[in-house]
Amino acid sequence: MNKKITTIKGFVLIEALISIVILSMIAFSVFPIVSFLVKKSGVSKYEGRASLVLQEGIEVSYNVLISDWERYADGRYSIFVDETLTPVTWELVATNSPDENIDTIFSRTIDVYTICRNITTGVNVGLAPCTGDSHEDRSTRLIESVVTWNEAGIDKEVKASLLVANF
Amino acid sequence: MNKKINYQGFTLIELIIGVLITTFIFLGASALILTLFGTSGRVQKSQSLDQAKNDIQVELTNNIKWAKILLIEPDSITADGVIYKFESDGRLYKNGIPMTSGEIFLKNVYITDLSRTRVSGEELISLKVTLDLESKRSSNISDHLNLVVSQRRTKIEIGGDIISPTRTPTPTPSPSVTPRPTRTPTPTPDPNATPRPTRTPTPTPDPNATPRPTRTPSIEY
Repeated sequence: MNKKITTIKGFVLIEALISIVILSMIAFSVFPIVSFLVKKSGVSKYEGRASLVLQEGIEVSYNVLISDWERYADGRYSIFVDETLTPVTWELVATNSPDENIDTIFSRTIDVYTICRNITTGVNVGLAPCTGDSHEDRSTRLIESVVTWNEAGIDKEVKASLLVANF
Repeated sequence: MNKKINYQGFTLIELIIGVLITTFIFLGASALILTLFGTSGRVQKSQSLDQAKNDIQVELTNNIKWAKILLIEPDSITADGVIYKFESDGRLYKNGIPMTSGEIFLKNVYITDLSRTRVSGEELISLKVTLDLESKRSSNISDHLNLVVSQRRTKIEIGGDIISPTRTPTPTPSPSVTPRPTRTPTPTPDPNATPRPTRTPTPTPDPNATPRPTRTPSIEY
């Protein structure tokens, strides 16, 4: 007598579990991508806000400096709105420390420099005090502003400078 | 012939465990998908706000900065004939054409003139434009714009005539606006400020040096 045993095998539990685990790992690998995208979006938002704070510093400094060129010596300044005048206007005040808590999280410095030009070529060679082959350009000033903030424990900054000519 | 078939599939308990695990996974996955869609929608609306904010910033900055004639009103700015008007429908219009999307509502718009008058009497405008942007579809998605722009001083000499930027007189000046008082040049340095380093005197130019060519006035950036 011929005895034939046919075995029909399905998956065993361990195989099914392994496949589920692999599937889960693939599915959950999407999480870091989403998290990264959300974080990236957050960063660009801060940077956008920081650029507006930076622009404010540069624009106000330009307007004040060009209005009264000789009045403001080189140095660090803070901006504020002078409400003692009618109508109110921008004003710069000399300071040592940066402006804190601008738009809640930002700090900003504004520095005004006199620049040096090469006596022969007139090329801008750096900031005062000038060396032997250059002289101070009294009709040009450099406004430099730096905005810093802390994001998730990391210090970040954006900076800009504007060369202003008084002619 | 005696044929014996041995079926080795899942037992009931294995199937139940499998179904339970699959259920949990599907629940987790559906929550993830819902979050993804929700985040995607929020990001999209947030990006629309950012885009609008950026458009307003770039447009106003470029045109106010280099305008020769500026006219400021509470809800509009006219720069060299280009009219930017914040309408009551919450949109910004440029010469009557909407600049911002209909899905974004601009509110609490304040245009403040904080210009300083030059010692020479010439006035260069410096504006502060503040406004709130809100998504019409979801009011909890909002943003704030605080934009400061200063008009640049340009002087072009054509045949001996000097053309400088001017401000057109406001047609109906506010009665509360009084002429700007003249300032006395009295700097008010911070008492805590560190003294500036002594500058080296300007060196005497070398008499043998080649004379510098006459430079035309220019603005450097």
